[in-house]
Amino acid sequence: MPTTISMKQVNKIYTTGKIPFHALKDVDFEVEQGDFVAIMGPSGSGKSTLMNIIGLLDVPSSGNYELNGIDVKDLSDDDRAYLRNQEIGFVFQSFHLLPQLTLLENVELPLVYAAMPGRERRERARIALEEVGLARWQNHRPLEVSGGQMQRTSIARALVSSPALILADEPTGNIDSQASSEIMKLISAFNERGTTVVLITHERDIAEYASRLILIRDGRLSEEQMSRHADVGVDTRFGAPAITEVNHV
Amino acid sequence: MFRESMKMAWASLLANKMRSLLTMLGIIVGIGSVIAIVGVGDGAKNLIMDEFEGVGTSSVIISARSSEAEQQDMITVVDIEEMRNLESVRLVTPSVSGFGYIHQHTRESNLMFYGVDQDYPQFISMDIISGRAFTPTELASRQPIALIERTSAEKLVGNSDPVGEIVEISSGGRRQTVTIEGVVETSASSFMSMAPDTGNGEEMPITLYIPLQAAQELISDRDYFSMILVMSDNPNMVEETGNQVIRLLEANHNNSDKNIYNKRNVTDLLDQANRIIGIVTTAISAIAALSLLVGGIGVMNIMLVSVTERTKEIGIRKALGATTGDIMFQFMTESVIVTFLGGVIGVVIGLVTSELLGNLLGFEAKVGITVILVALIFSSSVGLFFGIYPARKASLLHPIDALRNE
Ligand SMILES: Nc1ncnc2c1ncn2[C@@H]1O[C@H](COP(=O)(O)OP(=O)(O)O)[C@@H](O)[C@H]1O
Ligand SMILES: [Mg+2]
Repeated sequence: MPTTISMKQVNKIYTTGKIPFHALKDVDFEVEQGDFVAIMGPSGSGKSTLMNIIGLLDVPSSGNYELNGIDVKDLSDDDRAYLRNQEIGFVFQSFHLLPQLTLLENVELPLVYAAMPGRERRERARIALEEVGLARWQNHRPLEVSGGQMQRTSIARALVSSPALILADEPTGNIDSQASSEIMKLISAFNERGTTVVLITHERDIAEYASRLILIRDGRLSEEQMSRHADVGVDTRFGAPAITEVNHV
Repeated sequence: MFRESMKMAWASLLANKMRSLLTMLGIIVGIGSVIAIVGVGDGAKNLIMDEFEGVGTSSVIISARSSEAEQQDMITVVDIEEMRNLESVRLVTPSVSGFGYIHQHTRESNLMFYGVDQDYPQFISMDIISGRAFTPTELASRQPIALIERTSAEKLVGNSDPVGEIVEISSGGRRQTVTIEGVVETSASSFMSMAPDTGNGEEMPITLYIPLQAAQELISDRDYFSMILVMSDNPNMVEETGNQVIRLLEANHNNSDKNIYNKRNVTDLLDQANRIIGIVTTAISAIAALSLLVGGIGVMNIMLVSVTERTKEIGIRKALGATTGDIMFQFMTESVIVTFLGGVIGVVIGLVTSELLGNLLGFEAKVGITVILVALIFSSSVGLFFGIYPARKASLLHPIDALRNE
């Protein structure tokens, strides 16, 4: 199976502030086709930074990152835009839907930038909304629906162009627990159909949906062996008691 | 992509109606004033062309300057006979006209009358609408007969036929009873309706044509003239013909040093009108250019505000695969639509304004389709030019920075 994500000795140093901030330190990270990887870590540990680099929204300060065998250093801004459009679906904590567009139009957006003709685009977007159970809401605007529905819309948007990789940055961070489990079931379902998923969360029961768990702290990664359907105990390294009991299908 | 950008631009315009309108204001004023002035200017040119079509481009008007000329400088019948013998001259007719009153039953109206001889209709075309024309014998006589201008006839007798009507006319104390023999429509009709006011109120005078000698009699009983119409044998030699006639007059009256005689032809008048229109056009164009510049800067400013307000939207679009070019295109479309719409509104306002001004000044304003197209292209170009900087700024936003923006 081809490796979809391969990072070697990746560093990210932000130089925007007064003093440079070392957000990722010598990160080695591999994700294979079809993996479902959860990345957990406390706030400010570098999760989003890692996610942005994986998603070609940002570039490493040093080190090597290959996506589907392509070294991202060789890519122009437009190449990156093209790969984001074709290969990656994003799900953000705060949804990032455009408030002036209907749910259907929001889902259409990636296809607009893929230059798909209007009819086909609308049809595909409608099917994607149907898959997340929102067909009836397609003509509503984001602010007219619940947080859970907004996040389902953004999942439809992430999936509408059938990307190989889904990047979800705390997708359940802004919604209630019942909606959260619906979201996670959707994401799991797509993973079962072969889509690679990298999921960022700081909730252990959400991380439990993944098949691999990566811990990140102060910009450094470490992998934890997972035992599904088991009591994973209290993770004291995080300084706070995490959820211990996880029940899901 | 194009249709998407149009839709997006439209949506954001509607979302900020008032702001969009204010942004367009400079463009509206600029384009509106250009269209208005072009309409009025071209309308005025057409009017002059139309009016002088009757007089014809081969005619020249020779007059003695009223401020300089004394009685011995006036144009005589002898002068006219000699002019007729000049090779370059085809026709000569004295231009005799005067103001007075027309009395009909108990009513009194302002009157403008013209003396006509047998050559007069060669200069000013006169179509008989009803009744009859003067016979050559009548034209050479001082018989008390008259032809009435069509519009004047309506004023005088309404819908009934004025032919056979006997009216009394007076000028400077002299009185004369004349019989109306016919109704005419002349090429100078509307020009005459623009003749200077008699000073007795707003109403346009009734226009009558009477035999030349009758007119002279009514004015002063003199047989000299201050103005004549000369038709050149060759339309390309009008200028030269006019000069020859003036030399002849100066020789006859021995006044070549006094610069008494003045000549004007259609081309001169057109040139003069064009000069005035040109000055007005330049002035208005300067104002228009200024408001377009202000409008353009306004558009740039609003677009910069829009980019700032929509930073997050730009981030989202970029995350979903929008390229630098896509974002650039979206914002350019928006600024071009703003200025294009401003141009459309400006054109409409300009057309209405020139129409109103034309009505006020008594002619038909004319704005060609080319002018409108150029105005629209120009206003769109303003959007294109002033939209570049904001669009560039939007398109170069870093997706991460843009997404973080709340
Ligand atoms: N653009 C930036 N400039 C400077 N510092 C940044 C920037 N983005 C993130 N950081 C810093 O990098 C660290 C990691 O941030 P982030 O990856 O967003 O953490 P997490 O998502 O795990 O909460 C934080 O301390 C944050 O303040
Ligand atoms: Mg984060």
